[in-house]
Amino acid sequence: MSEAAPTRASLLLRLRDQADAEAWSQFVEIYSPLIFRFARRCHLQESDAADLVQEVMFEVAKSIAKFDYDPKLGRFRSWLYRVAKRTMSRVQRKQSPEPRGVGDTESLRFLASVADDNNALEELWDQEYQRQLIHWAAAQIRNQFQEATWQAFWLTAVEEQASQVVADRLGLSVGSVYVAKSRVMKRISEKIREIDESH
Amino acid sequence: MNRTDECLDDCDLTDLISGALTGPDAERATAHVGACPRCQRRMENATLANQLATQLPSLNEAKTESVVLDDVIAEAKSLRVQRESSSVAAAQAETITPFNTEVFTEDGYELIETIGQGGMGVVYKARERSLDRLVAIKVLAPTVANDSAAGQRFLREARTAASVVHPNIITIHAVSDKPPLPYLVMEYVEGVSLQQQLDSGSPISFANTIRIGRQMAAGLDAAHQNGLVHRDIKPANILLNARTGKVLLSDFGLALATGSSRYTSSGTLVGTAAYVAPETLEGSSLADHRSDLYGLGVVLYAMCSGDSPFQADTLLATIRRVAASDPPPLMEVRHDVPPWFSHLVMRLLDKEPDARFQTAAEVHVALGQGQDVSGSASTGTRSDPPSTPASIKLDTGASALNRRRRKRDRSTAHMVIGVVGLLVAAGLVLGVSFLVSTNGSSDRVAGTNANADQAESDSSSRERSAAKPDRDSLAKSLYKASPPTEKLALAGPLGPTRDDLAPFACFASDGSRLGSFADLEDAVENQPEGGWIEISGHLHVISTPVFVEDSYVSIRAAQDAKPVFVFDPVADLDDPFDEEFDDEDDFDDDDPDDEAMLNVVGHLAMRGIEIRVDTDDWELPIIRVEPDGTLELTKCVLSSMSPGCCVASQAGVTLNECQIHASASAAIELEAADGVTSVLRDCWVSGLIGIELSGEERQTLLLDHCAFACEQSIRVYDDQEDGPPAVRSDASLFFNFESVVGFDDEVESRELRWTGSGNVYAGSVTRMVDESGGDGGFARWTVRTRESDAQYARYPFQEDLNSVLRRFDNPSFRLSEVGLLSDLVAGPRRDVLSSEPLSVSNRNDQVDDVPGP
Repeated sequence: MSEAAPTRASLLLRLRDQADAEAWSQFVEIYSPLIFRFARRCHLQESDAADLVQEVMFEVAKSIAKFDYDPKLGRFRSWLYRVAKRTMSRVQRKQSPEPRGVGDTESLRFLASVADDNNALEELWDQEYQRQLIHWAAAQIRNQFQEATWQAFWLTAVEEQASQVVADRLGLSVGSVYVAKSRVMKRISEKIREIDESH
Repeated sequence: MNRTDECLDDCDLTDLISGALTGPDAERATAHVGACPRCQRRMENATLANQLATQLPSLNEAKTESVVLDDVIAEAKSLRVQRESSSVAAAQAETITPFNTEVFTEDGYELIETIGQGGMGVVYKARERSLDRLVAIKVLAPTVANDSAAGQRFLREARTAASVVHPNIITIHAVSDKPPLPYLVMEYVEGVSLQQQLDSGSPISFANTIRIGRQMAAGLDAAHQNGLVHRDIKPANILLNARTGKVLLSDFGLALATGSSRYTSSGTLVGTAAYVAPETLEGSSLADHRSDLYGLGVVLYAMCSGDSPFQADTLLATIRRVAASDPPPLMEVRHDVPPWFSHLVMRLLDKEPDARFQTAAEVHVALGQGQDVSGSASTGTRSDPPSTPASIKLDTGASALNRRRRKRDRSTAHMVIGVVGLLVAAGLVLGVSFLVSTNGSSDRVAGTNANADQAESDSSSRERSAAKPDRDSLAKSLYKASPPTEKLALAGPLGPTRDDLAPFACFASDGSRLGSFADLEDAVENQPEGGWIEISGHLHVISTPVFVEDSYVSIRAAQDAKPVFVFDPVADLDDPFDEEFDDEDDFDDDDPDDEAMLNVVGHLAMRGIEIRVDTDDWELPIIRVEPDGTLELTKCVLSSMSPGCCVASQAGVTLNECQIHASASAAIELEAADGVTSVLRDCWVSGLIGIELSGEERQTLLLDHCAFACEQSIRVYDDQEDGPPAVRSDASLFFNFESVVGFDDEVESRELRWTGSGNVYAGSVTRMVDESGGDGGFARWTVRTRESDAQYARYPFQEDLNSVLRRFDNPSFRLSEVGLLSDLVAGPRRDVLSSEPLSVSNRNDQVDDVPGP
């Protein structure tokens, strides 16, 4: 990372400046995968999920100027959730006249099953949100660590192997594996905090 | 830290992670962590919040993640280009501003701000200096104005629109064709467009959908009668007044004036195409007023589903859908809308104009009556609608009431040719299902096993019903107005009775269910002696007055139901036809002054029902009680936003645990005979005036554990000949903006006998002072202003009454189920309380005996 990532507030503020292409790119990089995965979790077909991302991003582009940044916890997250959900139900309705295969029916059924339970859907969203933060942050900081350190982190935290096994494989002490893993996780946490102050 | 078996302190732990700990210390610490599970956990906890840490394993899935995602991201990034181009368009529109300002100033308008812009032009909020009023100014876009033919059309249509005066059509104040650009000056509406409402994502209730639909239909009817077709009905052209909730149609005829400009909007921002009627796609010459009805249908659909059913990703796809594809029936998209409404909307959406409703007035009536007008056999019962059912229904009955109702039916029949036949057919079928279930219940009552499985009994009795020998005698006793045999003869086979089609169920005094009706009027007419009516479902719309003749009618909410009646009068549509029938009927023509929503000549008891009048163009009471009638309300909510009161009674009334609110009137108007006592217990009364006492005869009012939030709680309107009215009040709260008691200017005596105990008087301006020094128990109240009373805090008006009560800390209060004040008070109230302190006193009570009748 050659430059400091913008904080969440300033990223949102920069988004309002329509000429700020970089802010938009960064925003898209962080949040598109989230919307895509959320849509997939709602059983949308891949192509529909892809469309949904465009729809939501278009909505965001249109209405970001109206969004008043408030550092109160989770506000942006739930705002984006509402935009995504609204857009998704709109897309769903548009498609319902001509169901296109299993995915659609499944997703309709899924949405119907969670329709009464907004909490369930929002929980799903929150989960995907956390996950996307991790994914994004991990990708951002990957190059800051040596291969062995990263491997220690990856094998223990991601692949959930026992630290002794990992230590043997990498030729490190168990303590070093823990230290390496903690360092990476710490850095991920810092990275996330740069864009999401609630963590 | 010295030894490897010693746990790390927090500081060392942090330093170890960050790399600040070095050398032998770091080695020792690392070695310790390798052996100490506790420190391992501490270390992990110090780095990443738990909810994030649990997501770490998902990083592994990233490898298998869809390759599509990269394209998705790339595509989303390119959206920015579109954003840029749209901002360029906005910037171009902005450039009109300086250009026009001068013109407006010359013409006497002060621009305040831009409130909207589109392909057609720019809309400004402005102040008209001469009248000091806010107006909206619409300026035709230069691209359109430069086309002189379009400019001419714009002006012509605007002038036609200006000639239509209707509460649901935006008033056009002025039209200017002065260079450089033609513009028109319209009424300024504080509020949002329906489009904005939909975009906000907040759902529109079904009641509101009906209300908006009816007002749109009323506005369209007025326009169509003036030969004006809107041609561009869509949510963006429907304004909702934030203060009154009134629906206003704007931009009449402008779509035609500006030609095809709406098709030039770019990219995904296709709005209008999703709302145009298919025939307009083939050429605007084919469009007529029925195209507006189609638009109305799409708007109704969109209010339920969130968007037009034809909306597609691209303009072309949208147009293709409009032209060729039938949207799914509304009730499949929204399972909670009643079938009749779904049918109504789908009929409006018919591609063939001839198959739609033919006039806006029909739609207005159909929405009001909430009947199944689709003509489709949704319950499988309408196989052969009789060709002249109306006359059969109408030629029976003898009382003035029936004639009154009959006349209304007939005028309606003339107005909606072809629709009413189906309506009445539906009514007949329901009537028959009523008769049949009546038979079923008589079986149960007469049979040995009254507790038999009801469902089975119901269905089997329906099947056997046609053969029952005693049905006529039983039915006759229940059907006062129309012989049941005729109805049976006309009806087709029976289907299940659905609650949403017939929410008004009649019960006999022994608790057996006799059957159900589609509207309250029929249920009231057919309620057996000693029985009652149960109402299921949530929303019911009443458009014509209901009469309780000289019988005892008991209405209550079905279990778990919270029925709400919305009153939306169709009187305005009836009028022209009423004249036609004047000569034929011997009774006095329907004098609207006589009719309330519920007219009680006999006796009415209601429990758990809510009735709302949300329109402000209705000036009559919700419930009217005639001198020989009685009214008993329990746990009811009556709310009137209109200048009409909630209850106007010439007899004594009894209200228990009710909430009564009237924004622009007295909540309760009493004009009873001498000595009649009205009683309110545990009631919440709010509005302009709480209780109005009028008439020349002495009345008595008992208040017990009530709360009033009014300008004046009690207002006396007439000098009462037999002595001043008497009020006995105990443990009640009077929260007044003006005074507890007030007298109309015409009232000379200014006397009221007031007794009671434990009351709390709160409010901003005045309280009563006894100046008479006692005159045989009579007090002469005058109103004295208290300038300040600093010992009490100030309250904002919209405060939960309960917290007011807590503030007064009066344990004698047990007001039940008091709602939020803000729920009951319409719109922003004047801000009296923020500038005036509260004063409270309960020292003024005289504790006397209850005044005798």
